Amino acid sequence: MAGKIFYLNFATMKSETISSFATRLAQRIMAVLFLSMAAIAIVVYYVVQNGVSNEVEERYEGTLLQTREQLRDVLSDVSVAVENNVHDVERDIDNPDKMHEHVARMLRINPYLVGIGIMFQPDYYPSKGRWYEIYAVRDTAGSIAVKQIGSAHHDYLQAPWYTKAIKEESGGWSHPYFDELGAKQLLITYLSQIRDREGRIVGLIGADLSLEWLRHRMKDADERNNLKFASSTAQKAYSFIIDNNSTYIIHPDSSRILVGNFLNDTKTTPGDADDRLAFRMMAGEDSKEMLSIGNISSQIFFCPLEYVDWSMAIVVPQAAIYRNGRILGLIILTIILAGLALIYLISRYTIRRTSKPLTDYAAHAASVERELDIAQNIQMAMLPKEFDTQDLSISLHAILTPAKAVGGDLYDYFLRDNHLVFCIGDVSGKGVPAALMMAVMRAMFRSEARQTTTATDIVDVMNRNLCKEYTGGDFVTMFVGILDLQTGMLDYCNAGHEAPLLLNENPREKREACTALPIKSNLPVGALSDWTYEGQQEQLKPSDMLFLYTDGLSEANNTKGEQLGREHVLELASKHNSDTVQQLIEAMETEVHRHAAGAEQSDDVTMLALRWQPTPITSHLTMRASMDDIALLKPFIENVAQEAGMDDKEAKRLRLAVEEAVANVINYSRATGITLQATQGDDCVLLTIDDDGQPFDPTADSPTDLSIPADQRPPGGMGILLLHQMTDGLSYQRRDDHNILKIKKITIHNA
Amino acid sequence: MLNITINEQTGQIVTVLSGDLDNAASTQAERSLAPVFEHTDCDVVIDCAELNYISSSGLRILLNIYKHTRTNGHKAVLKDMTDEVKEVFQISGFLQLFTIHNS
Repeated sequence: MAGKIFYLNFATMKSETISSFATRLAQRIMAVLFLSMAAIAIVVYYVVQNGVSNEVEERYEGTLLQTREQLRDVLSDVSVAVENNVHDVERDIDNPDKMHEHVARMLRINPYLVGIGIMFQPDYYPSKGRWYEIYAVRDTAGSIAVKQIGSAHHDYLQAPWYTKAIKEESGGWSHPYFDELGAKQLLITYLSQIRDREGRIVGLIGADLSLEWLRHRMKDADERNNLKFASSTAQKAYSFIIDNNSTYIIHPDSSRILVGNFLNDTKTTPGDADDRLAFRMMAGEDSKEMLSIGNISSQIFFCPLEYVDWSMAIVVPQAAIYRNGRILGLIILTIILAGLALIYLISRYTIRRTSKPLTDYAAHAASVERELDIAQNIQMAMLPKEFDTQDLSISLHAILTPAKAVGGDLYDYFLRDNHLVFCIGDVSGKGVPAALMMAVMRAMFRSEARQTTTATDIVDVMNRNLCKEYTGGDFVTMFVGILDLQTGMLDYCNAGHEAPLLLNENPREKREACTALPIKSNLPVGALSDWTYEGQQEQLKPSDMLFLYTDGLSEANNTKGEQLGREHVLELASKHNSDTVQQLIEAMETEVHRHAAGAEQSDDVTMLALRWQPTPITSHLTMRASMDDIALLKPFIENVAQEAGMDDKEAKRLRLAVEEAVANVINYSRATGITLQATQGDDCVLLTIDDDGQPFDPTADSPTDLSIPADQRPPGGMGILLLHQMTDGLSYQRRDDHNILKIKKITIHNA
Repeated sequence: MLNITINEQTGQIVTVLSGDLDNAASTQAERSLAPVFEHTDCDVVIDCAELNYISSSGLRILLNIYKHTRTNGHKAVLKDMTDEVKEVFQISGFLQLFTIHNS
């Protein structure tokens, strides 16, 4: 998405495009958001996971240290208590019965102890016999019982711990053992020597410490931690203690206590990483290590325990270490994703809403475009249709190619009293304003040119009207011409327009193939209301061609900004001096396209070409407007048809058309005389029927409605129907109180 | 020029038109065909084999014959029209009114 630019073309953009644009924009924003959030999420996830796992590890390490400290405290308390009491006992060494008091007091003040005894060397007190061991024990109710338990049956003198301890220099802790007599508790005993006043070793004092509290404490701590960190994991954390021979002292599986051996266990598993761990523990190292036992990765925290030369370990499965971190990370991820989804919905909604004016604008632009299309159609419909003259002396072709949908060029032409009235014009400016102006100009031209006889007057009136009615400052360059089709005299007035070209088909008559028509310099129409326009006249020779164009042609640009040029237009026209009007205009169009070579058309291009080619009248007939004379038609038409080389069938059609037209005049127009003129063209015959009757335009009547059965139709329409059907062109003019009907019949059907 | 002959046969009247039934001939044709309108009990056959040309005035006369026969419950038959004449009937829509017969 970076660096991408959206070009919004409002004119062509439809509302669907806009809304998908909104979705696309939202999606792109989301993509960026998602990527950055994903990066953040990953970082947060790992930070949280590491933080939480570190916390978990610290917690386990804490548990380990606390246990160690407590054990140390207990062991220390017991050993200090025993050592302190040794002096009291030695002070009363001569009084064997005082020993009861000592053991009872010691046991009472030391709640960790399950029992405490004082035992003497054989026969130390002769009155007490060989064995003398005073032992205080706490019963289940908590009260303390003291008795002498030494006997042949309970021969402590033979016990290895006794014989070993009696030789030691100082007191110490025994190996753990199970209390065989009492509650089968795991016990360790602190033994210290008793000396007489001479300093000889005479007995031992032994405090039995139960390790059940330690076992429970470790079990409880494991359960608490598991509840907190491993409640949902398959593997649970556990702790154990081994002695310096790697024998289990404390283990969750109580059957292994004093029986199982950690080193032996590690040796049975593949790999020696755990074996090395066992040795490190036995060596009293304080550390932690990541180990894979079985398939389970675990973090093992271990530390040595003082006084007893043991090592304690907590085995924490990695899953338990990471579990809480993962849960927290997942919660954060979920929150981020939910936030993203919310942002997506909100941003899409917002973009949709804010782009709504854009959507509306696009719809509006589309409707403007449609209206412009309609406007263009209307404008094109204002132009005269393809010239379908009944007058063989003129051929004419014109095109208008607007640069925008609607343009400011115009042309027009029509026949009036055997004259061709025509114009070409170019409104300053382009687009809709120019098009409106063009419509006004064209309407003005039509209305003025119908009643004004010289080109100069037409231009003059238009100029004054435009200046009076319109103060917008726009003006129109125009060329207005009136060509007498009989004489070839062109009356024209050029109002600031390009000079039309005069093409001569026969340059050998000392005339150039193409020259610009001489023009007087007149202001454009609408420039100045009191400007006096000067008209001009030019005598055309038969087959001369006039080529009118707007500057859209001569100033057509190519991509380099070079214009086609007036000289080039003239040069090209001179090469087409003997072409038809259509061919000339097509050649110009081809050239302007070739020149532009893809460059955008910047101005309207309008061209109008006309050729004057008077044709002689070959025959004519004058008759009275009476049925008495109607029989004259048959030989006249037969003669015309024969001259034109028409076959019998076509001749009959022509005869029918003319007869129906003449019968209409006789029957309905109250004319007195009728004149018929026939003109032979290259491919057609033109018949002019001139009568002095009441105005009647047979071309204006719509042909009889054929859906009405023939026997129910009103009379009279039949002749006009046949007239239309039997001819190839009809035109009507009312001139000098005469009806002039021209009938065109193409003669080359059978050629 | 137009020639008209009328042959009264059993059950039908045969009218033979030859030449041009144009405006110039229409007045004469109307007169010549007057006897046809005196018969109310038979079909009218118009033999067009020799009819060279017909204009709208001619069509009007034939339309009257058609209307006459229809009023009496009989048919008007056009027989052996040339293509040119038939075209005029066709354009004007008259072809549907008449019974067409080609020998």
